Amino acid sequence: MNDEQIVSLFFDRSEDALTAAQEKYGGLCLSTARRILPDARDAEECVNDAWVRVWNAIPPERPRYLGAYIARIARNAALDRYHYNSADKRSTQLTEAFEELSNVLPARDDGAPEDRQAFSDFVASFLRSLSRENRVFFVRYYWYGESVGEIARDCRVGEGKIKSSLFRTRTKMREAMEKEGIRL
Amino acid sequence: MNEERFMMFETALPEEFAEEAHRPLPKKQPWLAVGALAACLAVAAAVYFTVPQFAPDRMKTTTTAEEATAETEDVAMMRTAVTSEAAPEAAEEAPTTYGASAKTESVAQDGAEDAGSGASRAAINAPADAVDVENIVACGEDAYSSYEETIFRVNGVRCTVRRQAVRPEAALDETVNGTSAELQSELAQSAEGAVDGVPAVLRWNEGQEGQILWQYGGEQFCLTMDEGASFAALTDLAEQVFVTVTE
Repeated sequence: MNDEQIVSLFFDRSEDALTAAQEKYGGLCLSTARRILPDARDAEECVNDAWVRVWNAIPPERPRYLGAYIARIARNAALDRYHYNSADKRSTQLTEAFEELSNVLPARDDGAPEDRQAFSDFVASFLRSLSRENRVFFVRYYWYGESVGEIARDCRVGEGKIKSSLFRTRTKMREAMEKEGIRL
Repeated sequence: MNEERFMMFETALPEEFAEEAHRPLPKKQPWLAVGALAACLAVAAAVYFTVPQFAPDRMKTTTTAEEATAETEDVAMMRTAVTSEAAPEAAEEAPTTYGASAKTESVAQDGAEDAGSGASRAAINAPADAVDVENIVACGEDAYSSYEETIFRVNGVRCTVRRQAVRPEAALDETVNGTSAELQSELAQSAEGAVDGVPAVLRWNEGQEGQILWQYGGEQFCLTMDEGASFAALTDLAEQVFVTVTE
């Protein structure tokens, strides 16, 4: 069943929509959540929560790319769970990627974090300045926690290309943060 | 790991980019470089031998060699299509539109200052899932008012890509002749972006109409969407349709 047909089923409020969407994108959702949450049961619960969010959001929303839309919702659900689940902070693929990046980015001397809105604005503007390809590699690695191999397979490019793109983008981000006086 | 820094970083990702990350990337086709050049030469040869006002004896009345060398090759080519006051009968015969195919390509110099560093080709390709594709070449009073337009529909949304020569001093967001003055004033959101690494300016009403402008090789490109516009949708579509090859 293609995405348009699945979205039409959502609009008809047919439960077959959820079955079809889970069949097609269940794996993507679960792997997205697992890269953020160390506990498998947490990840599964969070994916169930994501399906409820999808069910409630369509309609009125009509996503053009259903897989991308569902992956975003699963990621947000997993981050919410991570935030509130203070007992379990073992490292995951995403936290490891973040640590690698945070070692490069300028940090505040006093330890106090940057203003949240200012940082969000900076990130939006920085990502917009990148080419689509470099932006996708960067976001999938540092915000979705996907490995270089996974991104390479999915985007059908060499791992070397992704590694060099990530390296250049990290450097650019550090320079842009220094220039704007942004600290993380 | 600092939990607060982690959450701040991870929640700073705008929704549009979170969703964009799992949309398919436009396919880069390696044969395009050779195909673009071959198609361009074929079109140039076909036009030269089939359209009457392009015949060598009439071309002499259109522009001087000095003027032609002062411009980029593509601008000069457009001038010959317009014809000058010296050949009014030819101007009357000149067609305002011709040609219809799914792909338009041309050879352009990377700006006058880069003239010696090699030619760059810019091509506009309608996306693979586009329907009702139409190409229009319109000849204006001069090269700067002539343009080439590719119109198509993607998922029911009507999109237009217009390319035309721009004066070297033209600002990136300068209104494109005949298309966007009215539209620009109605678009509430704006941002700077990039198309294939080239700086671009975007204006749009979220989910409604929008446009993205960029310049390359002495030409301005303007892509408009009649609905469904967002920063990501405009950039995504522009990346799909705009192809450059530098030799």
